[in-house]
Amino acid sequence: MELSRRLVLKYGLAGASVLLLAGTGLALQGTTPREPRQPLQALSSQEFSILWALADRMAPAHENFPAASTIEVPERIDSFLASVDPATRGEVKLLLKIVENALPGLILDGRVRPFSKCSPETQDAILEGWRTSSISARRTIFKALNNLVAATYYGSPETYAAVGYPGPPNYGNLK
Amino acid sequence: MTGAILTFRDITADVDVECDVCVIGSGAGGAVLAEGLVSRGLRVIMLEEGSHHTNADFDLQEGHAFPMLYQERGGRATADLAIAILQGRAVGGTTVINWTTCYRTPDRILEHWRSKHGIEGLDPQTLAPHFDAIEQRLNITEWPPEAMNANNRVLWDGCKKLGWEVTPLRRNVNGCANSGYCGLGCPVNGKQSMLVTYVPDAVQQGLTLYANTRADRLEYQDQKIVAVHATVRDPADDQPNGRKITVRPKVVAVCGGAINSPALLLRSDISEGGVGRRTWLHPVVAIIGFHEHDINGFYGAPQSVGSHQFIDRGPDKVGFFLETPPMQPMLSSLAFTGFGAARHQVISQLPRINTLIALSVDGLLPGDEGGTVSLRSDGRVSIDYPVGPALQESFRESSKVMAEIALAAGATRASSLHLQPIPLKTKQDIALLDAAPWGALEHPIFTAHQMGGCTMGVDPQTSVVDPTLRHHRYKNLFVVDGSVFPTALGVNPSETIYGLAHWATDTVASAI
Ligand SMILES: Cc1cc2nc3c(=O)[nH]c(=O)nc-3n(C[C@H](O)[C@H](O)[C@H](O)COP(=O)(O)OP(=O)(O)OC[C@H]3O[C@@H](n4cnc5c(N)ncnc54)[C@H](O)[C@@H]3O)c2cc1C
Ligand code: SF4
Repeated sequence: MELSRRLVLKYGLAGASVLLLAGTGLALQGTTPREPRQPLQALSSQEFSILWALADRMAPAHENFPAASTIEVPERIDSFLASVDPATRGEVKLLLKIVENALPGLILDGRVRPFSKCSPETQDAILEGWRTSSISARRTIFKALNNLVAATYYGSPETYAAVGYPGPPNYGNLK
Repeated sequence: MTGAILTFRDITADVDVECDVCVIGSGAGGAVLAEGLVSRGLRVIMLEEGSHHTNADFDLQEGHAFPMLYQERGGRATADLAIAILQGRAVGGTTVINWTTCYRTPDRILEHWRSKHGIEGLDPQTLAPHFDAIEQRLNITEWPPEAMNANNRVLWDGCKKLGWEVTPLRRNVNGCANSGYCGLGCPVNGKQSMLVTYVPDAVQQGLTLYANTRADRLEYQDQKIVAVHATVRDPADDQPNGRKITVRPKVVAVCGGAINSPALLLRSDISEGGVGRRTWLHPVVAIIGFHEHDINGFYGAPQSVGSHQFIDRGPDKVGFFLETPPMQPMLSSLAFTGFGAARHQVISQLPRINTLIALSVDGLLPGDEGGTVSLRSDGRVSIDYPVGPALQESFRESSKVMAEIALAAGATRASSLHLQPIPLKTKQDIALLDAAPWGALEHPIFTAHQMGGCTMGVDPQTSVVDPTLRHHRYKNLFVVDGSVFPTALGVNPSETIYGLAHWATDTVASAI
């Protein structure tokens, strides 16, 4: 697919193949399942569960901030993904599997568990590793998922109070 | 004769229609051109891939506005995701969500285009009456300094303290409520976007505008475009809903904006002259400052002052200019570093943070080739933009300047947005930015000004349209939007595009 071709072109066969093995679903253990609170429109239940784990570390409960899953960020991302180009949707699904999969985890981070089964501390360390990786393809992947979570989370009115944003005024323009 | 705006709901059967001019895109270039053509009595059909929204839909929630009004639901970016590409997609184009700053094309840019790209006939005197007309219709006037928000005041005060040039900006507004939400669709129709000016002016005089309708391909025979093939899209998922629109015009004006105009030509197998190449972005880097008092940068006209102190840094350096962005939380979060509790901690200070942006002027240095638009095998556009050493230097120097401004204006601390942000408490600390890494994926980079990709010029080998905006080969094809710029501008581009479209209207009309 397009993403694999791009990664190979940009980052060389070795770097790309490690990343892409994930797409073949070589997890050593299953993903911790999470129950969506509305019917899924774009993601499989496994992809949704991976996203849940990821979103709750990218935007965890902290002081006045709610956990991403508490305000249904995973469901909101799922319905957003239903509205984007199918090829883009496919790439996000692949990226979720890459993060979850234990095989690139083993090679790159020395872990054997799927992401969703790791402790919060380990999950944070894994994400920090991707965020600051010397392999720029991994920074790209981190950014894709982190931006998706951040945009959905901080764009949700439930987080405005913690940010200190009173929200938009009402100009009486809405239908 | 009054025209109409038809959406996917109204288009219930396939359409096959003849007309004088088919205008593709309803933004800055397309709307001004279409109004000029219908006012000359011509039959014009306009195609717009985005939806028709009005201020009754603008609830000022970022989570709604970006998917509704921006390209790729707000997610457009370069292929490596290093540069976030903000670009509009709606009836009215990017003007629906732009920040209202208006400048005439700088004389030095027109002179550069003349001397380096052979573009004769586009001089300040020729363009002046066209800018006059645009400025009158869009009420382009200086924003009163008393109304400036505290985020802009940081730029103003800092520059004044440092003895650097800074001026109030001119804005296309009439009855602006100073809300701060220009990027999310103006709630009170104060912004004089194309949605509330040239588009309705043109519809009133007979324009038929098909919204939710994407021009997929131009069909040509010999040296003429004979048809525009378009599909109607369901806005829920942007996929074709089965309805087809075929326009058989005497003249075609491609006004889809940079990135999408070259993509349309490439889909039509029209690539000569470097279609998609020389795409300019005015790449943006930001510096934030922390204050003891409230800034509330999410409120108040987002851009009301600017500085061109560093626009010309000599012949071998990339110049830059300084402005400010709106600071609602979602857009801010994409600029702030990190994730998890650390990001929460920074963003919880948002009311007391100021943001300065520097826009680097690409395309002026010899050998600067900018970015490239191409088509992916799955049909999507791909944008590649290498960030070379000259641009890295501009990022670094502009960030140093912005940190100095924030500190001079009273920030207790400024910060870079690197993967590991560099805190800057004193003027001496600013030197720390010299050792920091600059470039792709080292810190956020944004663009709100996409230009080029169908550049004008005299040589058909290296340019797509001639200096009258006519395609070198297809004599009834024009490109009238920001994609024709041979270089970036060094000022916000909308007024240049309005003015060029106004100026080009006679030529397009006479090609029928
Ligand atoms: C957030 C933001 C803030 C900005 N602020 C400012 C500012 O303050 N001042 C300023 O001068 N500039 C600003 N700009 C930039 C400015 O608005 C744009 O440069 C300008 O509108 C571009 O005009 P255009 O005609 O080239 O394209 P656009 O205005 O983008 O219009 C192109 C239209 O064509 C449509 N289209 C594209 N392809 C097709 C197709 N194949 N079929 C049908 N329709 C198609 C698109 O959906 C779009 O609606 C800003 C931009 C952004 C994103
Ligand atoms: S700042 Fe003015 S022009 Fe911009 S959205 Fe608010 S009211 Fe409209």
